[in-house]
Amino acid sequence: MSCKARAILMRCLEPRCEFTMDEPVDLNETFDNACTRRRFLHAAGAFGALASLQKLSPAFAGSLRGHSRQLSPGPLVNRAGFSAPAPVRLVIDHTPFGLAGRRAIATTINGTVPGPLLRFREGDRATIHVTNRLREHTSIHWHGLLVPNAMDGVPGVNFDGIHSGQTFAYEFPLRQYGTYWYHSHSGFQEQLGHYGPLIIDPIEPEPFQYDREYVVMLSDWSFEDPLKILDNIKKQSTYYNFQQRTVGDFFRDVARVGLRATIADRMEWGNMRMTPTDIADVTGSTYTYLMNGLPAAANWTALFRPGERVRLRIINAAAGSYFDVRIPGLEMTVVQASGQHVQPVVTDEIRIEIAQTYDVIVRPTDDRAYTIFAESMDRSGYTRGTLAPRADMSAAIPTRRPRPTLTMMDMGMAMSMGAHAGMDMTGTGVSAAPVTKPGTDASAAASAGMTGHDMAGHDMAAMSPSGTSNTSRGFQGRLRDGTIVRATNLRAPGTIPEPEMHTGNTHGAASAGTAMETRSRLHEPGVGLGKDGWRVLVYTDLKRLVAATVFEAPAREVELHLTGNMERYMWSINGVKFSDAPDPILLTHGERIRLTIVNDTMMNHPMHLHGVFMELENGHGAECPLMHTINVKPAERVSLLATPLDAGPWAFHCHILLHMDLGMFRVFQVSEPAGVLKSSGGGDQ
Amino acid sequence: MPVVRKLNRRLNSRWQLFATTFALSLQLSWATAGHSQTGSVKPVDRMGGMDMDRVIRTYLLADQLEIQPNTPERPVVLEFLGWIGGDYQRLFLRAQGEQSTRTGSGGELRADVLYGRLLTPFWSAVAGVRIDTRQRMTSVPALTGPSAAATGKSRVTRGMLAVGLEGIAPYWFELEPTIFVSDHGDISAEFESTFDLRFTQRLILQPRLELNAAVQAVPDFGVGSGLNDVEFGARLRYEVRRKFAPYVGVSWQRLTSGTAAQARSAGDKVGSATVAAGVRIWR
Repeated sequence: MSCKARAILMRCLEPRCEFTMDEPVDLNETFDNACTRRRFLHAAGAFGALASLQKLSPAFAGSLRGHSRQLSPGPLVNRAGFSAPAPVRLVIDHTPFGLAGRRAIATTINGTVPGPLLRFREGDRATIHVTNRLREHTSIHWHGLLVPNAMDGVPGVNFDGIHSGQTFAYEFPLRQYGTYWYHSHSGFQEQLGHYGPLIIDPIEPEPFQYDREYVVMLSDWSFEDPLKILDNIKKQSTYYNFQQRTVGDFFRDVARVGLRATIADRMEWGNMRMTPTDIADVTGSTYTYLMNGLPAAANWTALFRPGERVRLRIINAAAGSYFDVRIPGLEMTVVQASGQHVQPVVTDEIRIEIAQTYDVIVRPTDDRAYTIFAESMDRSGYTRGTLAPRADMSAAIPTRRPRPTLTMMDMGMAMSMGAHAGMDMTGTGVSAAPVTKPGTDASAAASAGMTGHDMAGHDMAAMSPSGTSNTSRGFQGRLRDGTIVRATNLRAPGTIPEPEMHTGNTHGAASAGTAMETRSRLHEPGVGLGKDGWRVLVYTDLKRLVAATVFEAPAREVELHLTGNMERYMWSINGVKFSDAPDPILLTHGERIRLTIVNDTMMNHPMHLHGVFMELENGHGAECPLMHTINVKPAERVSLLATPLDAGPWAFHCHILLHMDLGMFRVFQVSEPAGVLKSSGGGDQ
Repeated sequence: MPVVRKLNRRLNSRWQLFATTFALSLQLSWATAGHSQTGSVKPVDRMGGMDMDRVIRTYLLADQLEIQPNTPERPVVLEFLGWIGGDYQRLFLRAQGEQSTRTGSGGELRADVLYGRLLTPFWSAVAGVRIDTRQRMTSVPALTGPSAAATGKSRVTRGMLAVGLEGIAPYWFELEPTIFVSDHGDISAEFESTFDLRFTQRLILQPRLELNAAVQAVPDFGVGSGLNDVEFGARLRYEVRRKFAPYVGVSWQRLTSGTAAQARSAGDKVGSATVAAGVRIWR
């Protein structure tokens, strides 16, 4: 860091140092799109004025030259926020806009994509009036927020949705801090632009420092009607995959690994009728990837002064795209995941699953531009923005890496077939590294592994006589939709699950290529990552900042299997799509639950549980990180702990929009607290 | 285009058959959809009126829509496939037709309507009906039954019951083995397999193997007992869009055993090679 930069930084960090409205002109202009946290926190008056200005001129991000006609994002922390006590008014409407030279109509919140940044303060009460000017239902779900059940915003689960012309008043206490987002839970509106960032500033001082902050909201846009996309992919599941293996790939692989190995590989995939290139269902062939609502060409820019610490609040608001985010030349320090503090992790690249949020701090010291590069997981496209000391700067855009291919390990082949599992046909896939379990309590895990098998046998015999009997704390068995509930011999909390062979039913016709063996893959960077010579964030890196003071063992374990049949593009849980699932899964208020998610498919699934934070059992015991969304890799077995404290029905689903809509969705019904008269609520029919 | 107009007239009655078949299928599928939705009342309707995971869809593929210029009759050949339904239950539709563009005679049409149910991830069991209509083939009186006194341009039609499978075998072979019993009790079987070989993301070679066999000879339809014919072909298509792919193709067909004998005695060739040019379209 240069002396000058350090000086500026020190000045910024000085308590009395504030940016005021009468800063020198050049700074005002250059920093137009920026803000400092201090500025936000201390300049509430000015903030209010700016907020009303924003209403008149929603295209505020267009002030960065060159794309003033674009629908503007809400990247400004101090411009688009709403102070907590005043009611926030949001209007959902169709708004025409231009993107990359084409016209389209988006479903917007207050006229922009993404919608405005909502900014609250922990401990306040949020009041948000949402007016629906569409001709169809709408809704807003506050992703990751712990709200009363009726405020969670899932039509049909929590409420009836907001009908055309109606205004719905959301009102809830803000019981947490962090970076989150909000989006429609109705139809395909989320794909059409109905999402926005949400920040809750903490009451307690944050355990890290920064001088400037930006929201980096990633998403995907298609000019095709989402219904058409679904229809196309339903009729040809590879419709959008223009990266399939070809005859040319065959010869390239022969040259690389030899004829025999290549044929063996092709035979293996062919035998299973699976495509190793199926990384994303909907791809860059129809998607334009956006950063804060802008395509790569528009180059969304975040300004900094060299030496400053810049906090990026990265949110993946895509409907169907995972992003691999990196900033060549800068290392990122992850300070929050799913909105919650974690012990700082320094890394170079982050795979951000759909619906996840990561807060990172970067410290650019040079007076130059840096590219914020977000590559789609299947490498079919990217978006980017620029961190720059001045507007209209840009840095080199990295070349995209070759599309990865899945391995036999992703298929859940048993490890005894390691020779094949390790075969990596592209040189970029993840090899089948021997599974080591950092931090596992070996004895507990070993016994748990055995118990798991015992219980699986037991479960099949014990059938739930009705959908309601699992309210009792002691219930175990297999529910009608195939969910397994165990109540005895559970392994120690916070430990990583042992590999398990698939037992019992293989989920019928809804599940093609059911994984034979599933294991923890939390320590793996994921398909296509980890071989570039730089660090990649993995789930085992994440530790809660402050260990839980009470870290109870689970009383019951609920095991769900993610299932799919790519050939017919069917997605389900336990082989049963949502509309066929007979009952909600009943949980007792306040009980300690282990949620085990087993991915029997060959795709990654970002699973989101509403209404409660999940503690990811990544081997760190009481330091297990809190998550609202968890990526489950192909053939992976992930377990999470949760203590549901808010009664009512809560949605649990894959956050790939099409997967959710096609039935990879369940409802957890949390009972009323003991002492409260038990209602016959939603789950009792 | 006079050719097209001529064709239209000739095919008119056959198009009516097509239309009726499809209309019938649509009605059936609507009925099926209604039935499947009465199964359970969902407590949750998250889609605000639409349950996306039980939508009934209609798929129609013109797998072959081609002209075969080197064949004497220079026929136009159609092969349509389609289905109407949801994830597990579908009404499969297949139709094949051929019409000469040279002469007024000839022309054949076949339509199948099959109910299919997904039993395993890759296989549906199918059952339904098939209708064949074509010009009477009989030219050797010794081989004909009492009904075949008339020869020449008369048409014959037969109905069949069909039962079979439809799905994808390991190594990505698309198969639809089917067994038929005609309204006269004649039993026959059909086996067709295709495979997609990808040269690029859009240039795709599709080899195809087709075998037909019959237990009884049905001379009106030019069918002998035993293996009737073997056809092997390959079509190279370019997917301009996924749904629109022009192609060129070649195929070799050889009639065998009794079927070949019938053809020989009628003075027809038992083996032929054809080239084709056409377009593959779906919606």
